[in-house]
Order: sequence, then structure tokens, then C-alpha cells
Amino acid sequence: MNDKRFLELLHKEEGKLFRIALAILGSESDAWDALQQAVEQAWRSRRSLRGSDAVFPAWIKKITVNCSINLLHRRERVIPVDPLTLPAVMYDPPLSDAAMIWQLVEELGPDLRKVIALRYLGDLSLEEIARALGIPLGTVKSRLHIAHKRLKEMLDDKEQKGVGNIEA
Amino acid sequence: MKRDSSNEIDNRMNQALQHWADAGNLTPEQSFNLERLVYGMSHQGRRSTTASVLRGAIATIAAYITMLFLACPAAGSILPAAQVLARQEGPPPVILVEQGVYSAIPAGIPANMVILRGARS
Repeated sequence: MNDKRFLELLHKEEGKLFRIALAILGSESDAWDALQQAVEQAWRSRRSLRGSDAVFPAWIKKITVNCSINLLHRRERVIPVDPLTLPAVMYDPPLSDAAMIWQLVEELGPDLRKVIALRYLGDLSLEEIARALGIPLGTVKSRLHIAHKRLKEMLDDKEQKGVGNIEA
Repeated sequence: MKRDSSNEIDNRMNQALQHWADAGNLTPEQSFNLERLVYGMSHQGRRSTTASVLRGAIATIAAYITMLFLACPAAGSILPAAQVLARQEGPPPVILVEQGVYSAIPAGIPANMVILRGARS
């Protein structure tokens, strides 16, 4: 794969990759670092990518998730991720269903956010999440369960408020 | 009932988060920076490949020249060690002389190593 083709495929995925890294790391600057590392790693190992271009998105997504997890470990040793430092752009209106759910995920706090990000955006299994975060499998399951429960409550609450607003 | 509700929220979250990620965009500047990163690595890779090819070629030529001097008896005139080696292990020297100057052959040369050019048997 030459540079031009690599960049064409990368440009199609870069926005999504950035958001995946952002969801895992919780900070725009860290997400940017992880994305750059992922691109560097992907470019260096591009010859190992056998098959058609169709596998490129999944391949580079996997690299991005791994780079984000590695960076997460490094950052956690230095400074804990503070949810208050999250960029305001993530809360920008208008809130679609997707954006609203993401905002709710953010409100769950960093521990639950990381599990959800790795589960739904990183496509990791529960065992892989446990390994990546260095926590027991039972903790992953319970965090996911808590996240589901709280999200359901929040969604119900928002929907009720939404109905109330319309009625008012 | 509880399981259905959990699956429902699971599916909803999955779809919503996928859409959220798909809607992500980099700024033109960030996109350009990624492009520059890739071209930078590509340029660096090409430069190091050229340098290693050049280094390899120079090393090969140097090794070849060294071998020539060490292994070739003709190089004896340049390297004293090879000169001695050529004298000791090489074939006996043959001296060609024109007939009539036989007496001019130095005293140390054995007669069987002398070929008389134009000599009649």
C-alpha cells in the first residue's frame, strides 16, 4: 500500500478513530496523541495488512484502541483523568440521540465511561476489557450493569422531562 | 422482561455510540498534521534505505579491493608480505635470455630455469 492510498483510507476513518480514542481517554489532547501514535504504528506495519482495503478500518481501529489503552496506563500513572477537563465541544447542542447518550455516558464518570467505550467502540470482549484496565472480570460486569441501569434511569428521566416540557 | 430491557438499552447504546463515533471529524489542521506525519515517515524511510544501500555498496567495494591486494600474487609488488609469499610458494621463476648473453645471467640462477630464446639444439 502506497502513501497516497494509505492517506485516502486514513482520511475516511480519522474522525471516528479520534472519537474512539477520546471516549477511552477522556481528553482531546490525549486522544490526539493516541491517534498520532496509532497512525505511526499503522504506517510502519502497513505491509502486514494482507487482503483488500476493506479490512483497513477494523485494522486501524484495533491499533487505535491498543494505543489508547497503552496511553491510558501511562497517563494513569501520572495523573488521574478528571472528567471536568473534558472539552466543552462534546456537550455542544443540538443533541441527537447519539450525542445525548454520549453525554449520559460522560456523566457516569471515568470508570464506567472507559468500560463502555471499550465495549461499544473498541469492540472488546469483557475479558479483554478486564485485561486492558487491569481489573477483575466481575468488576467489568458489574460496572457495565451499573452503567446500563443508570443510563436507563437517565434516559427515562430525560424522556419524562422532555414530555413534561412539551406538555408545559 | 428485565433481560429484554437490558438488551434494549444495550442495543440502543451500541447504535448511538457507533453513530456518535461515525459523526466525528478532525479539523483541517489536524488532518493536515496527520498527512504531514505520514509523508515525514515516508521520506525518512526512503532516505535511510538509500543510505543503507550506499553503505553496503561502499563496504562491498572496499572488501573487494582488500581481497585483491591480499589474495592476488600480482599485488606482491605492493604488499611486502605477499611478495615473500609469492617467492616462497609460487612457481620457480623462468628467465628468458637472448642467445649470446648467457654469460650475463647472474650467478645465483640455476641453469634449468634459463630458456635460451633462439637457441639451436
